[in-house]
Order: sequence, then C-alpha cells, then structure tokens
Amino acid sequence: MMNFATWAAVLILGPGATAVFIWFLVDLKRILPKRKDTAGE
Amino acid sequence: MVARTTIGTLIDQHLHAIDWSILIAYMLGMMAIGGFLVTRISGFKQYFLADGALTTPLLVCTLVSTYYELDVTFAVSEQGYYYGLVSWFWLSRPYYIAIIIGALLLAPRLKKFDCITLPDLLEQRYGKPTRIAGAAACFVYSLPITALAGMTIMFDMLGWKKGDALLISMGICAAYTAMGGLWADAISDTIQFVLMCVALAIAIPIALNWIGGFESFSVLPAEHMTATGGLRWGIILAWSVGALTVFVEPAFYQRIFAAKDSKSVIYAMLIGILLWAAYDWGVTIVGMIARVAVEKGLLTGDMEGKHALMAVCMQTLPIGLRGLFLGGVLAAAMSSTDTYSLLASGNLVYDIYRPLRKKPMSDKELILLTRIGIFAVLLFASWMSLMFHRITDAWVFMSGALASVVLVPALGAIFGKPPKLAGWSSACAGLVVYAAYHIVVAMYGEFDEEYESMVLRIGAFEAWREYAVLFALPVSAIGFGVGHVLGRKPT
Repeated sequence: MMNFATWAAVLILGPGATAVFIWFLVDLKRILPKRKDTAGE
Repeated sequence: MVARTTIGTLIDQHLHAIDWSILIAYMLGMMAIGGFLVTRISGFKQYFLADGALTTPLLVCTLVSTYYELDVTFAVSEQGYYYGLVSWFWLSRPYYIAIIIGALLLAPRLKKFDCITLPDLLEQRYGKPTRIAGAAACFVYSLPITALAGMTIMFDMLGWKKGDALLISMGICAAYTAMGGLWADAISDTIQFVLMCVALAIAIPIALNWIGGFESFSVLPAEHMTATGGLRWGIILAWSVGALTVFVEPAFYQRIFAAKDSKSVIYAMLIGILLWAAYDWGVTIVGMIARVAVEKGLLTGDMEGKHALMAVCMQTLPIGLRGLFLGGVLAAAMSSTDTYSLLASGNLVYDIYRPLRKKPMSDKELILLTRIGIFAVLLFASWMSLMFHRITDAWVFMSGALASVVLVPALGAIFGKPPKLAGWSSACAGLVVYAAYHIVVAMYGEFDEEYESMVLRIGAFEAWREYAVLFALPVSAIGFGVGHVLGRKPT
C-alpha cells in the first residue's frame, strides 16, 4: 500500500501539477486585467 | 558510501552556480510579476479580490500552494520523522474531509453574500463589535509566522546569514504583493505551485533510492507504520480539530469571493485535494526516510525533526536539482507569506481601521494603507516567529485562536439568521476561554521534555497546551446558544 501510494503521489505531483500549470497558462491571457490606460478601449 | 553529515554545516558549499542561477531567476521572476501587474490595478476590489475573475486552474494553483506553507513542508515531515504515518492520517487527512464539505456546502452559499472578507460577513449578521473581534482573530491567524519560521530554519541549515536572507526574501515577497495585490499573489502562487510540486516529485524517488528502498523502513519503530503512531488520542483529536479552521480560513474565503463563480471554486478544491493529499504523503515519507537515514547512520543522530526534509534533499539531490528544490521550499514559504501578509494587512486596514474611522476611505487610500500594512505585518510576524520553539506550536496556537473565536459565529451566519447577540456572545466566550486556558497552563503547568510541550497535571488529569481549542470551542457554541435564546430575533 505504501509503495503504491508513494508512486501515485509522485505521478500527481510531477505530471499532474505540470498539467494544471499548462491549463493555467492557456487560461491566463483571457483573464488578465487590462492596463489602466487601455481598460476603456 | 555516503558521508555522515552534520546539520547546518557546509551545505552552502554544495550549491553550484546553476543552483544559484535558478534561485536568482525565481526571485527576479516574482518581482517581474508584481511590476507587470501594478499598472493594471485600479480599485480596492480589484486589488484585494482580483475583481472576482479567478478561474479554476488559477484557483487550484493558488489554493494548493497557499495552504502549503512551510508548516506543512517542514512540520508534516517533522511529525513523519518523529511519529511516522500518523502525520498523514491524522494531521493532514482531516483537512481533506473538511475541504470537501467546505467546497460542496460553504462555497455556493458564500458566493451569494456581497462581501470582500470574512469579517464583512460577520458584520452583516451580527454588527460591528463581532466584526472587530473576528477581524482580530483572523489577523492573529493570518500573521505569516510559520512561513517565516520555516524560512529561518532553511537559511539556518544552509549556513546563510539568517537576518540578511530573511530580509531579502521578505522584501521581495512584500514588494510584489504590495504592487499587484491578489493578482500578483495568485499568479506568483502558480509558479510556486509547480516548483514545489515538481521538486518534491523528483526528490522522493532519489531519496528512497538513497536509503535502499522501502525495505529499509523495517528499521523504524513499529508505531511509525501504524495510523495512530502510538500517540495519545487527545493529541490526535487536537490535530484533527485544527481541520475545522478550513471553515473559517481567511484565504479560503478570499478566494471564494474572488472566484468567477461557485463552480470554479468547487472544481478547484476537488482537484486540489488530490494534490494536497499527494504532497502531504510525499513529505511524510521524506520525514520517515530521514529517520531511516539516522537509524542507518547516514545522517547525524541528534538531528531535529524539523530539519528532516532539508537534510534528506540536500544530501541526495544533484547539482541543478538542489537549486530547484531550494526554489521549491522557498516557494512554499513565499506563496503563504504573500497571501497571509495581504490578508493580515487587509484585516488591519479594511476590517478594523476603516469601520472605526469616522471619515469614509477612498479606494486609493485603502490600497495605499494596505500596501504599507504588508511591510508592517511582515516585520511584526518575523518578530513573533522567534517566540515559538516548534513550527507546529505556532500553527496549533494560531488555528486554535481562529477556531475558538470565529468558527461558530461564521457557520451560524452562513447557515442561519441568528440574533446579533448570538455572534457576539459566542466570539467573546471562545476568546475568553481560549486565552484563560493558555494563561493557566503557562503559569501553573510544567514543560514535558518528551512531548516538548506545556502540561498542567491535576491528579490523573492532564491539560496539555494543545487542548485549549477543545475547551474553547464547546464554550463558544454554548455562548452562541445563550445569545440565540436571549437575543432579539432579526426581522
């Protein structure tokens, strides 16, 4: 059980966290606030 | 053959130019985020709540990394070192249950309130005095004491000058948070999130290989492999009750109010639980690996548990990965330091000073004072961090204070329409009992060397310092009930 849980944790923390980060990057441009001087355009 | 190593010696010599480059690039990146966002902040709600625009992936990253300050990274590995798997089962697991309940029951209801902070909610239901009491408890909880204490341990072990290193880290953290508010906090959290997760994912297999795999765990005491670790149930209960703070966690509330919608929060928290559970498990295992290394003579026998994670990773990781790991540990501390310094400053300026001041405050004034407050909070917290011997002590004290004062009134406000007196009497009763318990145990108790904690022994009865919340919480609930009966019902 310990062996399985540890390798599952490694998979979630490595590839899993990286996938969430890529999802964030894709989403970022859409949600970022506009600059104050161009906000009204 | 691996050389026997003494903690805190010569570790700085192991850092290669590549490791330093990674650390410096990370610090500069954080500053760049603040500088990029400062031109995009126009109002207090945008500054403090990112204009309510946070989506699921951003929420996952910011929630996970914020909740993992160094009290988890070091304290869970510390408990794994001393007690084994109980650290995951009873220090960490109760939080997942609380988070599931919080995501499904609290988040949708909270989104319906027009609030910026938790004390806003308390004022809407109970009035200004309860707001101030709640804000004071939130302030105590939000002081980034544990994160700064964790940074100090890290610098100590690396042989760096603690004062200088802490000043630089805090300065960078305060600067980008003050510039960009929650936007800078959340976006920097995402970088910190991936850094800390990936660093740990790489460290675990290397460390396991170092001690000779799981077979080596046979040298550990038998209790290390059990779910209770041979600990007293009172201590286990006190650890578990700490999970109730999820329901009044100021960072959790701030992110719910800042979320695009309640679905985004629910998805983020459910995905986050997987990552939290994996991180806790990994850190616990590294703590146990450190204990195996001590038993095998690979690490010095007088090593303290709080050094377990750093000792193992610095001893086993190669050049480059060491810099990544240090960046990850620093990231874990900074992601919490930025969030909680923003929240604590918000407590002082928005929640306490603003309602007490007769003249209304403009958004510009609020932002300016909150920015100044961030620096003040960090200085105060670094002084406070010197007052606790163990990181876990600080965490138990702060979470106990928050739960004792705010938990019952906040849940009452979210799920019902209680009289104003109910919230006020509940907060006061919790606060008085919590403070009185600590004072009595500190004055009349004795220090227990084995558990490194204060205890008051009266015959067979043992009142440990950690039990304060177990007494204060029921009294807070009774106070709420009494206020409910005696108070005037809201119209």
